[in-house]
Amino acid sequence: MNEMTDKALRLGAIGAVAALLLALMNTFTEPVIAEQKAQKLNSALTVLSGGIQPGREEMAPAPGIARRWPLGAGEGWILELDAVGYGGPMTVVASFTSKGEVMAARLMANSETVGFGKNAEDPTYMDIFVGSGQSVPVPVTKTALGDDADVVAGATVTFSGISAAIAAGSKAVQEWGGQ
Amino acid sequence: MRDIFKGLLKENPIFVLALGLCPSLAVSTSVNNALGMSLATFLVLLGSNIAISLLARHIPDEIHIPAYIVVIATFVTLVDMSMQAWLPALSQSLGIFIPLIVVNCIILGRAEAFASKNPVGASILDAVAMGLGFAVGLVAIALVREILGAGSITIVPGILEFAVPGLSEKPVLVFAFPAGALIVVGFLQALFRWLGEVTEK
Repeated sequence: MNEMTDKALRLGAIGAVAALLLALMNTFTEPVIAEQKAQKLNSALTVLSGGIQPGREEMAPAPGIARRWPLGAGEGWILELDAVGYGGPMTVVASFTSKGEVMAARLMANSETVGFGKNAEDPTYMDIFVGSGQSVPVPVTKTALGDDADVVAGATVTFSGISAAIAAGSKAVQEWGGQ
Repeated sequence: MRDIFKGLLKENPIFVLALGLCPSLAVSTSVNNALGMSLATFLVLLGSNIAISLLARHIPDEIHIPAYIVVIATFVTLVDMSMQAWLPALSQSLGIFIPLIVVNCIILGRAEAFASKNPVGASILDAVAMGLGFAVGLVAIALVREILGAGSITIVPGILEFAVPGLSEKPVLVFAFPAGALIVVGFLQALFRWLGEVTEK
Protein backbone atom coordinates (compact mmCIF):
# COMPACT_ATOMS: atom_id res chain seq x y z
CA MET A 1 0.00 0.00 0.00
CA ASN A 2 1.52 3.31 -0.95
CA GLU A 3 1.68 6.29 1.39
CA MET A 4 -1.10 8.24 -0.32
CA THR A 5 -3.55 5.32 -0.11
CA ASP A 6 -2.69 4.84 3.55
CA LYS A 7 -3.49 8.49 4.32
CA ALA A 8 -6.71 8.36 2.28
CA LEU A 9 -7.83 5.23 4.11
CA ARG A 10 -7.10 6.72 7.53
CA LEU A 11 -9.02 9.89 6.68
CA GLY A 12 -11.83 7.80 5.17
CA ALA A 13 -12.02 5.66 8.32
CA ILE A 14 -12.33 8.74 10.54
CA GLY A 15 -15.06 10.10 8.25
CA ALA A 16 -16.90 6.75 8.28
CA VAL A 17 -16.88 6.54 12.10
CA ALA A 18 -18.07 10.16 12.25
CA ALA A 19 -20.92 9.43 9.82
CA LEU A 20 -21.92 6.34 11.82
CA LEU A 21 -22.00 8.31 15.08
CA LEU A 22 -24.10 11.07 13.51
CA ALA A 23 -26.52 8.57 11.96
CA LEU A 24 -26.92 6.90 15.35
CA MET A 25 -27.59 10.22 17.08
CA ASN A 26 -30.02 11.18 14.31
CA THR A 27 -32.19 8.13 15.01
CA PHE A 28 -32.74 9.48 18.55
CA THR A 29 -33.05 13.20 17.82
CA GLU A 30 -34.90 13.28 14.47
CA PRO A 31 -38.32 12.11 15.79
CA VAL A 32 -38.09 14.50 18.77
CA ILE A 33 -37.19 17.45 16.53
CA ALA A 34 -39.96 16.57 14.01
CA GLU A 35 -42.52 16.37 16.83
CA GLN A 36 -41.40 19.72 18.21
CA LYS A 37 -41.71 21.35 14.79
CA ALA A 38 -45.22 19.94 14.33
CA GLN A 39 -46.22 21.13 17.81
CA LYS A 40 -44.79 24.58 17.14
CA LEU A 41 -46.67 24.85 13.85
CA ASN A 42 -49.93 23.64 15.42
CA SER A 43 -49.55 26.11 18.25
CA ALA A 44 -48.86 28.93 15.75
CA LEU A 45 -51.91 27.89 13.67
CA THR A 46 -54.10 27.95 16.76
CA VAL A 47 -52.93 31.47 17.65
CA LEU A 48 -53.09 32.75 14.07
CA SER A 49 -56.54 31.36 13.32
CA GLY A 50 -58.10 33.48 16.06
CA GLY A 51 -60.46 30.73 17.15
CA ILE A 52 -61.56 29.75 13.61
CA GLN A 53 -60.79 26.15 12.73
CA PRO A 54 -58.21 26.03 9.88
CA GLY A 55 -59.15 23.77 6.99
CA ARG A 56 -57.06 21.22 5.13
CA GLU A 57 -53.56 22.31 4.16
CA GLU A 58 -52.66 22.78 0.52
CA MET A 59 -49.05 22.62 -0.62
CA ALA A 60 -47.35 25.31 -2.77
CA PRO A 61 -50.47 27.22 -3.94
CA ALA A 62 -48.34 30.05 -5.39
CA PRO A 63 -44.66 31.01 -5.77
CA GLY A 64 -43.17 32.02 -2.40
CA ILE A 65 -46.05 30.38 -0.51
CA ALA A 66 -45.15 26.95 0.84
CA ARG A 67 -48.57 26.04 2.29
CA ARG A 68 -52.01 27.52 2.87
CA TRP A 69 -54.91 26.70 5.13
CA PRO A 70 -58.41 28.13 4.54
CA LEU A 71 -60.08 29.79 7.52
CA GLY A 72 -63.77 28.94 8.07
CA ALA A 73 -66.08 29.40 5.08
CA GLY A 74 -64.19 31.95 3.02
CA GLU A 75 -63.19 34.02 6.05
CA GLY A 76 -59.51 34.16 5.14
CA TRP A 77 -56.30 32.20 4.91
CA ILE A 78 -53.28 31.16 6.93
CA LEU A 79 -50.16 31.13 4.75
CA GLU A 80 -46.70 29.67 5.28
CA LEU A 81 -44.48 32.16 3.47
CA ASP A 82 -40.89 31.85 2.28
CA ALA A 83 -38.74 34.82 3.23
CA VAL A 84 -35.05 35.69 3.07
CA GLY A 85 -33.32 37.34 6.00
CA TYR A 86 -29.78 38.25 6.99
CA GLY A 87 -28.99 34.63 7.89
CA GLY A 88 -30.65 33.09 4.82
CA PRO A 89 -34.11 31.51 4.32
CA MET A 90 -36.81 32.15 6.90
CA THR A 91 -40.36 30.86 7.30
CA VAL A 92 -43.17 33.22 8.24
CA VAL A 93 -46.72 32.08 8.97
CA ALA A 94 -49.41 34.72 8.80
CA SER A 95 -53.19 34.83 8.83
CA PHE A 96 -55.13 37.15 6.52
CA THR A 97 -58.76 38.12 6.14
CA SER A 98 -60.27 37.26 2.75
CA LYS A 99 -59.49 40.85 1.72
CA GLY A 100 -55.78 40.47 2.47
CA GLU A 101 -55.61 42.26 5.84
CA VAL A 102 -53.02 40.80 8.20
CA MET A 103 -54.64 39.29 11.31
CA ALA A 104 -51.51 37.91 12.97
CA ALA A 105 -48.06 36.60 12.03
CA ARG A 106 -45.20 34.58 13.52
CA LEU A 107 -41.57 34.05 12.47
CA MET A 108 -40.83 30.32 12.48
CA ALA A 109 -37.60 28.73 11.11
CA ASN A 110 -34.75 31.19 10.67
CA SER A 111 -31.01 31.64 11.15
CA GLU A 112 -31.08 35.30 12.11
CA THR A 113 -28.51 36.91 14.39
CA VAL A 114 -29.00 36.53 18.11
CA GLY A 115 -29.93 39.87 19.70
CA PHE A 116 -30.86 41.44 16.35
CA GLY A 117 -32.86 39.60 13.68
CA LYS A 118 -33.80 36.89 16.21
CA ASN A 119 -35.86 39.53 18.02
CA ALA A 120 -38.43 39.06 15.27
CA GLU A 121 -39.38 35.76 16.95
CA ASP A 122 -41.00 37.78 19.72
CA PRO A 123 -44.77 37.61 18.98
CA THR A 124 -45.14 41.35 19.73
CA TYR A 125 -42.69 42.16 16.87
CA MET A 126 -45.35 41.18 14.32
CA ASP A 127 -47.78 43.77 15.74
CA ILE A 128 -46.20 46.23 13.28
CA PHE A 129 -47.94 44.32 10.45
CA VAL A 130 -51.30 43.60 12.06
CA GLY A 131 -54.16 45.51 10.40
CA SER A 132 -52.18 46.30 7.26
CA GLY A 133 -52.66 44.84 3.79
CA GLN A 134 -56.08 46.24 2.88
CA SER A 135 -56.70 49.98 3.38
CA VAL A 136 -53.24 50.46 4.95
CA PRO A 137 -50.41 48.95 2.86
CA VAL A 138 -48.06 46.42 4.48
CA PRO A 139 -45.06 48.48 5.74
CA VAL A 140 -42.05 47.44 3.65
CA THR A 141 -39.72 50.30 4.58
CA LYS A 142 -38.59 51.69 7.94
CA THR A 143 -40.07 55.05 7.00
CA ALA A 144 -43.48 53.43 6.58
CA LEU A 145 -43.24 52.16 10.15
CA GLY A 146 -43.22 55.69 11.59
CA ASP A 147 -42.91 55.55 15.39
CA ASP A 148 -42.49 51.75 15.25
CA ALA A 149 -39.16 52.01 13.37
CA ASP A 150 -37.27 51.39 16.64
CA VAL A 151 -38.75 47.87 16.78
CA VAL A 152 -36.68 46.81 13.76
CA ALA A 153 -33.51 48.79 14.60
CA GLY A 154 -30.35 46.79 13.95
CA ALA A 155 -32.18 44.19 11.87
CA THR A 156 -33.31 45.98 8.71
CA VAL A 157 -32.58 42.99 6.43
CA THR A 158 -34.71 40.71 8.61
CA PHE A 159 -37.55 43.25 8.59
CA SER A 160 -37.30 43.68 4.82
CA GLY A 161 -37.47 39.90 4.29
CA ILE A 162 -40.47 39.45 6.58
CA SER A 163 -42.34 42.49 5.26
CA ALA A 164 -41.79 41.47 1.62
CA ALA A 165 -43.13 37.97 2.35
CA ILE A 166 -46.17 39.31 4.20
CA ALA A 167 -46.88 41.86 1.45
CA ALA A 168 -46.68 39.07 -1.16
CA GLY A 169 -49.00 36.92 0.97
CA SER A 170 -51.50 39.77 1.29
CA LYS A 171 -51.45 40.32 -2.47
CA ALA A 172 -51.99 36.62 -3.15
CA VAL A 173 -54.94 36.49 -0.73
CA GLN A 174 -56.52 39.53 -2.42
CA GLU A 175 -56.28 37.68 -5.73
CA TRP A 176 -57.84 34.51 -4.27
CA GLY A 177 -60.57 36.39 -2.41
CA GLY A 178 -62.75 34.16 -0.28
CA GLN A 179 -62.51 31.12 -2.55
CA MET B 1 -5.84 22.75 40.27
CA ARG B 2 -3.07 25.00 38.92
CA ASP B 3 -3.86 23.75 35.38
CA ILE B 4 -7.51 24.65 35.78
CA PHE B 5 -6.66 28.05 37.29
CA LYS B 6 -4.44 28.92 34.30
CA GLY B 7 -7.49 28.79 31.98
CA LEU B 8 -9.29 31.30 34.17
CA LEU B 9 -6.68 34.06 34.31
CA LYS B 10 -3.16 33.49 33.00
CA GLU B 11 -4.27 31.69 29.82
CA ASN B 12 -7.89 32.80 29.62
CA PRO B 13 -8.90 31.90 26.03
CA ILE B 14 -10.87 35.10 25.39
CA PHE B 15 -8.97 37.79 27.28
CA VAL B 16 -5.39 36.54 27.13
CA LEU B 17 -5.12 34.11 24.20
CA ALA B 18 -7.70 36.18 22.24
CA LEU B 19 -9.35 33.02 20.88
CA GLY B 20 -13.04 32.59 20.09
CA LEU B 21 -13.70 36.32 19.92
CA CYS B 22 -16.39 36.12 17.21
CA PRO B 23 -18.92 34.08 19.24
CA SER B 24 -17.90 36.05 22.32
CA LEU B 25 -19.07 39.24 20.66
CA ALA B 26 -22.08 37.71 18.96
CA VAL B 27 -23.82 35.72 21.70
CA SER B 28 -22.92 37.80 24.72
CA THR B 29 -26.09 39.89 24.59
CA SER B 30 -27.56 37.92 27.50
CA VAL B 31 -26.21 35.80 30.34
CA ASN B 32 -28.49 32.93 29.35
CA ASN B 33 -26.99 32.80 25.84
CA ALA B 34 -23.47 32.99 27.27
CA LEU B 35 -24.14 30.05 29.61
CA GLY B 36 -25.62 27.98 26.77
CA MET B 37 -22.74 28.78 24.42
CA SER B 38 -20.21 27.97 27.15
CA LEU B 39 -21.84 24.60 27.77
CA ALA B 40 -21.90 23.74 24.06
CA THR B 41 -18.29 24.84 23.55
CA PHE B 42 -17.14 22.90 26.62
CA LEU B 43 -18.82 19.68 25.43
CA VAL B 44 -17.23 20.01 21.98
CA LEU B 45 -13.84 20.85 23.51
CA LEU B 46 -14.02 17.88 25.86
CA GLY B 47 -15.09 15.42 23.15
CA SER B 48 -12.59 16.63 20.56
CA ASN B 49 -9.70 16.79 23.06
CA ILE B 50 -10.34 13.18 24.14
CA ALA B 51 -10.77 11.89 20.56
CA ILE B 52 -7.74 13.75 19.20
CA SER B 53 -5.55 12.73 22.12
CA LEU B 54 -6.44 9.09 21.38
CA LEU B 55 -6.13 9.36 17.59
CA ALA B 56 -3.20 11.77 17.16
CA ARG B 57 -0.47 9.15 16.82
CA HIS B 58 -2.48 7.30 14.13
CA ILE B 59 -2.94 10.45 12.03
CA PRO B 60 -0.07 11.41 9.68
CA ASP B 61 1.05 15.05 9.88
CA GLU B 62 0.00 15.84 6.30
CA ILE B 63 -3.69 15.07 6.98
CA HIS B 64 -3.95 16.11 10.60
CA ILE B 65 -5.87 19.37 9.95
CA PRO B 66 -8.69 17.79 7.86
CA ALA B 67 -8.82 14.86 10.30
CA TYR B 68 -9.14 17.19 13.31
CA ILE B 69 -11.78 19.25 11.54
CA VAL B 70 -13.84 16.09 10.85
CA VAL B 71 -13.57 15.10 14.53
CA ILE B 72 -14.50 18.61 15.74
CA ALA B 73 -17.36 18.93 13.22
CA THR B 74 -18.73 15.57 14.39
CA PHE B 75 -18.85 16.68 18.02
CA VAL B 76 -20.35 20.05 17.07
CA THR B 77 -23.08 18.30 15.06
CA LEU B 78 -23.77 15.87 17.92
CA VAL B 79 -24.12 18.79 20.35
CA ASP B 80 -26.23 20.76 17.85
CA MET B 81 -28.61 17.81 17.28
CA SER B 82 -28.89 17.16 21.03
CA MET B 83 -29.63 20.80 21.78
CA GLN B 84 -32.23 21.00 19.01
CA ALA B 85 -33.96 17.93 20.42
CA TRP B 86 -33.67 18.43 24.17
CA LEU B 87 -32.91 22.14 24.69
CA PRO B 88 -34.92 23.67 21.81
CA ALA B 89 -35.33 27.13 23.33
CA LEU B 90 -31.61 27.51 23.91
CA SER B 91 -30.80 26.04 20.49
CA GLN B 92 -33.16 28.52 18.85
CA SER B 93 -31.73 31.39 20.83
CA LEU B 94 -28.11 30.59 19.88
CA GLY B 95 -29.04 29.81 16.29
CA ILE B 96 -26.21 29.66 13.78
CA PHE B 97 -23.52 30.13 16.45
CA ILE B 98 -23.78 26.49 17.56
CA PRO B 99 -22.76 25.05 14.14
CA LEU B 100 -20.12 27.78 13.94
CA ILE B 101 -18.29 26.27 16.94
CA VAL B 102 -16.59 24.15 14.25
CA VAL B 103 -14.48 27.17 13.32
CA ASN B 104 -13.97 28.41 16.88
CA CYS B 105 -10.19 28.84 17.24
CA ILE B 106 -10.24 27.55 20.83
CA ILE B 107 -11.24 24.05 19.74
CA LEU B 108 -8.75 23.62 16.89
CA GLY B 109 -6.12 25.58 18.82
CA ARG B 110 -6.27 23.24 21.83
CA ALA B 111 -6.37 20.18 19.56
CA GLU B 112 -3.21 21.36 17.82
CA ALA B 113 -1.34 22.82 20.76
CA PHE B 114 -2.28 20.38 23.51
CA ALA B 115 -4.49 17.33 22.88
CA SER B 116 -2.40 16.02 19.96
CA LYS B 117 0.75 16.02 22.13
CA ASN B 118 -0.58 14.89 25.49
CA PRO B 119 -2.31 11.85 27.04
CA VAL B 120 -6.09 11.65 27.52
CA GLY B 121 -6.09 12.60 31.23
CA ALA B 122 -4.15 15.81 30.65
CA SER B 123 -6.30 16.63 27.60
CA ILE B 124 -9.48 16.29 29.68
CA LEU B 125 -7.97 18.63 32.28
CA ASP B 126 -7.04 21.09 29.51
CA ALA B 127 -10.62 20.98 28.16
CA VAL B 128 -11.99 21.66 31.65
CA ALA B 129 -9.54 24.56 32.18
CA MET B 130 -10.18 26.15 28.79
CA GLY B 131 -13.94 25.47 28.91
CA LEU B 132 -14.11 27.10 32.33
CA GLY B 133 -11.98 30.04 31.20
CA PHE B 134 -14.16 30.53 28.11
CA ALA B 135 -17.32 30.34 30.26
CA VAL B 136 -16.01 32.85 32.80
CA GLY B 137 -14.95 35.24 30.02
CA LEU B 138 -18.18 34.91 28.05
CA VAL B 139 -20.44 35.26 31.11
CA ALA B 140 -18.44 38.30 32.30
CA ILE B 141 -18.92 40.04 28.92
CA ALA B 142 -22.61 39.07 28.81
CA LEU B 143 -23.23 40.23 32.37
CA VAL B 144 -21.84 43.70 31.71
CA ARG B 145 -23.56 43.98 28.31
CA GLU B 146 -26.95 42.76 29.52
CA ILE B 147 -26.95 44.97 32.61
CA LEU B 148 -25.92 48.10 30.69
CA GLY B 149 -27.51 47.34 27.32
CA ALA B 150 -30.83 45.84 28.42
CA GLY B 151 -31.07 46.66 32.13
CA SER B 152 -31.63 43.03 33.05
CA ILE B 153 -29.90 39.78 34.02
CA THR B 154 -31.42 36.69 32.36
CA ILE B 155 -30.19 33.36 33.68
CA VAL B 156 -33.21 31.20 32.75
CA PRO B 157 -35.72 33.12 30.56
CA GLY B 158 -39.10 33.47 32.22
CA ILE B 159 -37.89 31.79 35.42
CA LEU B 160 -34.75 33.47 36.69
CA GLU B 161 -34.72 37.04 35.35
CA PHE B 162 -33.89 40.23 37.17
CA ALA B 163 -34.52 43.82 36.14
CA VAL B 164 -31.93 46.45 37.02
CA PRO B 165 -33.73 49.52 38.40
CA GLY B 166 -33.03 52.62 36.36
CA LEU B 167 -31.34 50.79 33.50
CA SER B 168 -34.29 48.56 32.55
CA GLU B 169 -36.30 51.67 31.62
CA LYS B 170 -33.43 53.52 29.94
CA PRO B 171 -30.68 51.07 28.88
CA VAL B 172 -27.43 52.23 27.25
CA LEU B 173 -28.24 50.68 23.86
CA VAL B 174 -24.67 50.81 22.49
CA PHE B 175 -23.78 47.88 24.77
CA ALA B 176 -26.37 45.71 23.03
CA PHE B 177 -24.55 46.26 19.72
CA PRO B 178 -21.15 44.93 18.53
CA ALA B 179 -19.42 48.26 19.24
CA GLY B 180 -20.44 47.96 22.89
CA ALA B 181 -19.21 44.37 22.95
CA LEU B 182 -15.76 45.47 21.75
CA ILE B 183 -15.58 48.20 24.43
CA VAL B 184 -16.53 45.67 27.15
CA VAL B 185 -14.02 43.10 25.85
CA GLY B 186 -11.27 45.76 25.92
CA PHE B 187 -11.90 46.75 29.54
CA LEU B 188 -12.31 43.14 30.70
CA GLN B 189 -9.13 42.17 28.86
CA ALA B 190 -7.24 44.83 30.82
CA LEU B 191 -8.81 43.63 34.08
CA PHE B 192 -8.04 39.94 33.46
CA ARG B 193 -4.44 40.70 32.42
CA TRP B 194 -3.94 42.79 35.54
CA LEU B 195 -5.46 40.05 37.72
CA GLY B 196 -3.17 37.51 36.03
CA GLU B 197 -0.11 39.61 36.81
CA VAL B 198 -1.18 40.23 40.41
CA THR B 199 -1.83 36.54 41.13
CA GLU B 200 1.53 35.58 39.53
CA LYS B 201 3.39 37.89 41.91
